[in-house]
Amino acid sequence: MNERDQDSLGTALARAIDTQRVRETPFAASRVAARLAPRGAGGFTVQLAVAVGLVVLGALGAILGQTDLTAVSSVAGPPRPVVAVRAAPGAAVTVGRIEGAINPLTARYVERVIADAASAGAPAVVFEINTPGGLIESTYRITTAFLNAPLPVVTYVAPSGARAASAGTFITMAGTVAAMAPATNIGAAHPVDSSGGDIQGDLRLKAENDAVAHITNIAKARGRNEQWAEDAVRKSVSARDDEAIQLKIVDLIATDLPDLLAQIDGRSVEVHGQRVTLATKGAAIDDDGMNPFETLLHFVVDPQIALLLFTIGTYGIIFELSNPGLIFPGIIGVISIVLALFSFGTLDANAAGIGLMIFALVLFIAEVKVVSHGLLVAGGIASLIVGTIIIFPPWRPTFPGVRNSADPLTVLLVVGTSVLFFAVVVRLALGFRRLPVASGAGLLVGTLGVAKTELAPAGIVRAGGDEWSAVSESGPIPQGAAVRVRRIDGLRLIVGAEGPSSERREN
Amino acid sequence: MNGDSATWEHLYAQEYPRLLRALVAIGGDQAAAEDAVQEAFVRGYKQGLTSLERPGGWLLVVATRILFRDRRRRAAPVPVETLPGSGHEIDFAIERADLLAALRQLPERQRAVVIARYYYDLSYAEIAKAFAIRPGTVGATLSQALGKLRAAQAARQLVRGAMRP
Repeated sequence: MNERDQDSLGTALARAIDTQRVRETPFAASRVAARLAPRGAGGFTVQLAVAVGLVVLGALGAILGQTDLTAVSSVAGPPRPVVAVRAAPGAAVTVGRIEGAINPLTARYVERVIADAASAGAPAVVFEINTPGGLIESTYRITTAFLNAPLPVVTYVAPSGARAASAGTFITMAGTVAAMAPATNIGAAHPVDSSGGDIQGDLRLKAENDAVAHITNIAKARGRNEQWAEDAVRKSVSARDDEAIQLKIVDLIATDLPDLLAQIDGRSVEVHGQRVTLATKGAAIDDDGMNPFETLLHFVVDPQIALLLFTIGTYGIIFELSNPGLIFPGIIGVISIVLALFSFGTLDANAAGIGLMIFALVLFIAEVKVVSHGLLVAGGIASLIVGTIIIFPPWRPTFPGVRNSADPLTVLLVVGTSVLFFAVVVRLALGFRRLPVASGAGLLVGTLGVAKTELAPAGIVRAGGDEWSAVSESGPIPQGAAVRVRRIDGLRLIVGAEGPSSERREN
Repeated sequence: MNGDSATWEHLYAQEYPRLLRALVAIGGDQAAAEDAVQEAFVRGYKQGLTSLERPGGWLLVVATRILFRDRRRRAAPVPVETLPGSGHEIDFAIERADLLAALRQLPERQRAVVIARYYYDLSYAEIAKAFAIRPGTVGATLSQALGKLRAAQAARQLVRGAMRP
């Protein structure tokens, strides 16, 4: 067969091959494209969308939480006509506890306990009180609930050593019957600003007069010492339990709960214009403390806790996004953020502050994905500082004993954590990611391989998990022998015999 | 580094269509050919193929090796050839089918060398390097393969001629 004949047959063959009908796979669907983008931009977009979606859900949850609270407070509001309920014979006395800071969750809890006690037909509801103070609005909600309760409300500052400070004074005096355990105190109800400092200017007078009007109304309604009540607000006076009896601030001293129930038994009190005789001696006790859910929310609804939760949530989400698939940090992060947003919503946090904090979160997430040489982090931290300071404005009036603005220590902690996080953790994580890809020919030099075919001197070698064309520099090498990669020529390995097999061959 | 996505997209557009056709021609099985081609690209990615000046030959060698390896594990290949409509095209399709059928009668190594020479247009030296054989052997292998092709084609044409009414 001559050359021309060969070529014409070759051309015909090439044409035959070329015109075959085949189904082609586009590049985007090819395996090598999948290798090139193991976590492509698409994946990140989806993650970001999920994260943003969850945060939005959380925000909605927070708003709903707030709406719900408002609804409860309006139900407990004064315009509702209340009829005193008749105690069911033999029903247990409901005992609740008002402990720690007074916040919207405390108010919600008190309203729930009163409603439960009323529907259970309890002869009375007792609240054991031990509080350093709290938010004005929440305090007024509680006193309103007490004054409008359909059954006798006994307030009891207990146990010994407890105090009913600031907001607690209002709450204790609002009880149908007020009692104190020995060695407890009451008073010091002067409003301060939300950082615990003095209120300045006209606002001071306004807050003071408002509080005086409220507490004297309570004292009048319950027949207690109006002058002392006014002094407790204006002059921040305080009284021990024995003084409180003398000054007619409270009605009695009881050593413990059974003693209290025995002492108030047979007492005739007025509930909504009806005389009711208390029958509490030896009554069973229905302990109705905060349930675990209320305890959690009461704990969370605190400016410092909320800010810390938001910080934890931020880093959980950032960590998840920079290391997709760890799942756990992502879940913790989203739960923390949702709780923080619930808290922000409940505490009437400043919307601009929330906006700035979420903006900081977005900038931090962007920093993980975009190289900005720290500019995004700097912006995020600036946004975070301003956000944490204004989210709970420090100038709102409150009762002393609880801080309703961001503590400088909290701000420092949140910002410090952010700086540290980006200085150390993200740098490290990204450092690993920016290492050169650990594959390719260069890594093979010096490693061991196995001859898949005889190398005479060329053949196939398996090295680094792949099959390579290879040429032996140390003469023929039998199939299955170990070889060491000496260098790389294009895509061909230059190998030498290695180990026992080469020695055996030389013997 | 293994080059960026754009480099690979370009390489894929350039090499994928003819590599797939070459492997379908060699093995006659579309699925097996597709598998081998995809695998060859992935291997090329892992081994730094884009640094080569002419990656086509390398891909052909690696893909045929994968195809032959996998074909031994597979069931018999399903031929992929559908006949088109018009008269002229039928004649060509018959010729094409004959040629490809004849190609598949050759030993595996000869099939790959024939395709490297006539479909990939590689020089003897390039083929020798790619398949790790001596340049002198390339000419002999080609000539032997084409001789068999010619004979097989002629035989088929004879058979077909005899079957025509």
